[in-house]
Amino acid sequence: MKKTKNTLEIEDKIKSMQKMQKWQTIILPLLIVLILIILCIFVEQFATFGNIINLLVQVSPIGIMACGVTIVMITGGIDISAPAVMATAAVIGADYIARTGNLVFGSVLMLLVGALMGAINGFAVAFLRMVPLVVTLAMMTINMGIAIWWTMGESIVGLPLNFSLIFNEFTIIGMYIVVAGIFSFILRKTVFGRWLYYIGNNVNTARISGIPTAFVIFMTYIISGLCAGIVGIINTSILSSARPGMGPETQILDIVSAVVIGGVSVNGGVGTIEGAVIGSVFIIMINNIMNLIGVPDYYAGFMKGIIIILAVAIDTFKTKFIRG
Amino acid sequence: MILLRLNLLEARAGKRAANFKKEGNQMQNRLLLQIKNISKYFPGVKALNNVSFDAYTREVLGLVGVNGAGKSTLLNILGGIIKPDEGEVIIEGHKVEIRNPRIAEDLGIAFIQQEIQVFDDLKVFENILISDLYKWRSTKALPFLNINKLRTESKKYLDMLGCNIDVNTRAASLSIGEKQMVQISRALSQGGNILLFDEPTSSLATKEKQSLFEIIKKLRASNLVIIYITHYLDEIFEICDKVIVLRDGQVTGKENVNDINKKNLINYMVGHDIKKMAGYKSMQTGKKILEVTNITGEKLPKDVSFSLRKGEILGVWGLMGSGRTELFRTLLGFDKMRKGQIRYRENGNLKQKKSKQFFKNTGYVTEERHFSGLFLQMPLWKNMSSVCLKKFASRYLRILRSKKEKNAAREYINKVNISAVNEDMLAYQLSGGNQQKVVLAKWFMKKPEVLFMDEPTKGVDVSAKAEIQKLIFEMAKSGISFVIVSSELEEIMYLCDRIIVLYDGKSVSEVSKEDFSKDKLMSDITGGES
Amino acid sequence: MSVISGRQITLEKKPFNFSAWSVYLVFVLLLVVFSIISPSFLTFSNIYSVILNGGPLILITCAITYALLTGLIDLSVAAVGYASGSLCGILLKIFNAPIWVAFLGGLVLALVIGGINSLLVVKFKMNVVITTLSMMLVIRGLGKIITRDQTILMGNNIAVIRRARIGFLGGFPALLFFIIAVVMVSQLVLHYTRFGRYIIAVGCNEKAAKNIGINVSKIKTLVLLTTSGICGIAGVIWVITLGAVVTRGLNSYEFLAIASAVLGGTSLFGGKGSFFPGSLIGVLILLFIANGLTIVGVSPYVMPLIRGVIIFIAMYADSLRLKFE
Repeated sequence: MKKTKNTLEIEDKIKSMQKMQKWQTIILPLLIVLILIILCIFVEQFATFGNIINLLVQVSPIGIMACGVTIVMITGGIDISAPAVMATAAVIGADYIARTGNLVFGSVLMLLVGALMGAINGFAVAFLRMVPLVVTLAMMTINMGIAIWWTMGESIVGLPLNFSLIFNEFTIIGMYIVVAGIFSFILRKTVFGRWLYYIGNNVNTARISGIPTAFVIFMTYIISGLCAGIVGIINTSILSSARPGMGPETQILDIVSAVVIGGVSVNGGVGTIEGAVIGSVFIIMINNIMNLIGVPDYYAGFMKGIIIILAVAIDTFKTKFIRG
Repeated sequence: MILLRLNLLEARAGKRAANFKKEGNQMQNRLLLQIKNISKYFPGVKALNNVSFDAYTREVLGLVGVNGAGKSTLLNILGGIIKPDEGEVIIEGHKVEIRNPRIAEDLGIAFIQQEIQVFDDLKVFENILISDLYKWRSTKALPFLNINKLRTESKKYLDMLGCNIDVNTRAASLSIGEKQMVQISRALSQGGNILLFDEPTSSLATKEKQSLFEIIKKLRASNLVIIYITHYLDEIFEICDKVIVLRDGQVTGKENVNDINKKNLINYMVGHDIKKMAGYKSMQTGKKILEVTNITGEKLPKDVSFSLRKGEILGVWGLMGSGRTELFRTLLGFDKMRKGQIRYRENGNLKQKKSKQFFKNTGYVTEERHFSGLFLQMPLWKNMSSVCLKKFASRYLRILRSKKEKNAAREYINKVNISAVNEDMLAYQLSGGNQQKVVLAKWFMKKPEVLFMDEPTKGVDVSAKAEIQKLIFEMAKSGISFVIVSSELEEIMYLCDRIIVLYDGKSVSEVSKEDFSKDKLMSDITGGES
Repeated sequence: MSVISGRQITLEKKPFNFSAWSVYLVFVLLLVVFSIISPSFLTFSNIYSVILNGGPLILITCAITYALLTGLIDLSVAAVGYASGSLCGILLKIFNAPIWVAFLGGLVLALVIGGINSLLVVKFKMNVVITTLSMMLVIRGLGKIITRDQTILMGNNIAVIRRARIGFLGGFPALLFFIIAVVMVSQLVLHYTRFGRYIIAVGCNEKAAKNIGINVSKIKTLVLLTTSGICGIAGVIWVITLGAVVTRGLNSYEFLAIASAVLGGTSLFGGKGSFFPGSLIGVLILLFIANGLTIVGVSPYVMPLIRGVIIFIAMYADSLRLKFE
């Protein structure tokens, strides 16, 4: 195929654009590493082992739920019910454990509750074709109610001690790494994972291509619910108790912030678990730093909000720039 | 320009009431609209080429042409949605520039689009007068509207059309035909004296069609210009006085309807010379591999049957709305199939199959690649492997081998001759023709036995078109059967061994290559003998 | 491709208007049931206190209804109310400003926020949900920054507050009338002005609206400004009614407001809905359920569940209704 000079110019332009795109994905992680380095130098308490571990333990619950939410958002949906489902799952499971002492089944129960709620969400979105925001908003409201009703407002305590002992800091961080690792693998290397990107990119094309879109979308919500269940287990063990207030709205805001900052597009089709992890770390880091410096936590909310707006603005302009 | 607008507005304000009175001194036809040398270019395509014609009041001017002939482009220019690259539009002797829909409206142009532009949640009277609501305030000082005045005023326009819809009903509860009435009333209330109807009857029931024709006749009697676009040639003879034929963006015929017949019209639309079918001859098409009977969908298709042999290229020919796309969608399981049987040859015998199972051996190139054919934001190699991903995955864990995918992508990029820098290019970065080739390549990768294609060369430049057609021949030679929908008579006659013709959802005829004739095909497409 | 796509052609004429009437029915039923169960429910003082305390929620629901009707959503509504209230409180307490200055301060802040919202959503075309969600974070933070995240009691200005609460008009608080007036005026604007009709048009079919020549950007901008503005008023009223700025004030009100609007028949997809009776009834239902259950003696822990169930059903009903129309 003979190439004219004009074609060669265009080819070069496109090749350089591709290189630039590869750079873009590295910028955010580099930025974070940079900030980390600066912090280690300037903020004394930050670089201590204890603080870092503390930070990572705080990241894990948010991070795991963020993984679930990422999976959902890649297909173009959203799940704002995650923390509320987590609280319900934790409360129901903890109640069972408190009564029967059966740790294993109690934990499994938490997972089941999470999966059940996820299944309801998934059914509504995938088969009833309802809007994800509405469905998960409704699920969030009803779960907050269920959690309060189940416990009559009280914390569930008296859990066997081995529960908290099993889940020490390293186990928890380890669980997060494992979950993130598995999800990352699924997204990058499996057929199912690739299907998620296809669906998020263009659900019609995906359907025509023979992908079972309804089933896949259904599964994403179940996965998100399961993640919520896992976090229920973790949080219950950290606190040695479960109470309905475990999943306040601030958490979903943190999760969505983390995910969006990490590069997941609200419109679907774009995003990685690695990004979600970085975003989660980033969000919790802001909280952590503000704490260390002595800044009251309401400034954190303020900062986080501005950062997300910037992230979304960049994402929006990127898409517009590409199209136009 | 401003002066012109004021003049027109004043003139129309006075004329509006008088429009529907048959005044003795207005019985003359008046030259109201002139199109002069309009041309419009889109990337790679000249949609309109030096189009000129005149439109007079008190006559209905029909505008016909096959898909892509330029009718919609012309209407969009008049409606202010796009601007012409060359030429001018002259209204009442003054040159005008129609920069946006609002200006078009001020100039008296009312574009009654195919897609119903009625607000379901508003009432009928609000829909009719929606552009002029400010005029109907109770007092000039306050922004509150005088509802009663709105009601009576809107009723005036419905009465003019002889329509008795209650102005207080919510638009959502109206039928399509009634919504159209509302749209026409809106056009009139805006002082429209150039009405553009774009395929108004495609969604109407017979009775509603008749009502529409009555109304158009009424409108004609007043001093309006009416331009009527349709595919249905019978309608031209029923309500039009003059007809303009577009083909490939040019005016190929300007006639009085009384002076011609359907055959002449078809000749103008399709041309006298059909290129000789060079090259491909229906060679050893094998046994029958597919037999489809009584396929009936939700609304379309209605009871369609056909069969297909190995290596055969079957064409599906018909107007927009005849059910071609629906036939594919129903057959392949994307729309509900109410009735019908699919028998597909597997291991020697024809076995009955369900749509979903049948789809495993087929490919489906949809009509709109941007809508359902490509993943625009994804690289080419991901697009290509999307329909047969399992081939690139390990057996048990379903782990993808991206290297394998990329290699396959490179192979097919060459095979299909896609001009792309590399397989990492994103789909939206390619030209239309190349994008279509990507769609083809991805289905070829699946190695289907039957490939369904809906307008395979739509929006594709000339050279890519030829390449795609060549590919189809090659694949057919290697044993893949094709079922192709095309709106281009030349293309379908060139490519296909056999053609089935759909009209109103039903299969009306089946023609083999020896019997191909444009007259027969054009007349079948409109329901039968002229 | 055919013009006739699977979903479009339905020659049915009458949509099921069940949803509109059912809401009023539920409301009346509610009042009846509770008044039977407990005689102290239907007393004047009870009803009046419910409505007065629910004032901010009523206004916030009214505000968000504007956005929903246009097809948008604004999750920052409660935060705007909180921030405006905070500013108002600070002005009154620390700066001893006259009440109209404090009011204006809150309102101006709200309008500025509304302006930012429209800039991001309309001009920059950013995603409404995430943007207003983030603004909620920012603005709530702002409110807390203003008050240093402490509860502020309006000790000194109690006279002003009292006057505002009790007001003139023989024992009725002027504030209550004001709140109802805002709702009624909104309803009038919706039905009897061009602005209102355009709001519905845009929410119903934005593309068609643009084709007709309606300035969709202008409508959306005005709507977002109005939404925030009314929230600002809500915040100020909240602070005045309560006599204090509470740090977790108006928490979750945005979701309650959305739920109320949906209960009242406003569709989350735009075009359908009303301020009165619609959203107002929606709020009243939620308020009276909470109130009624408390009076009847139901455990306060069941209430969120019941509320959750109602909202759940309402939202599902709204979505399904859209599917079948």
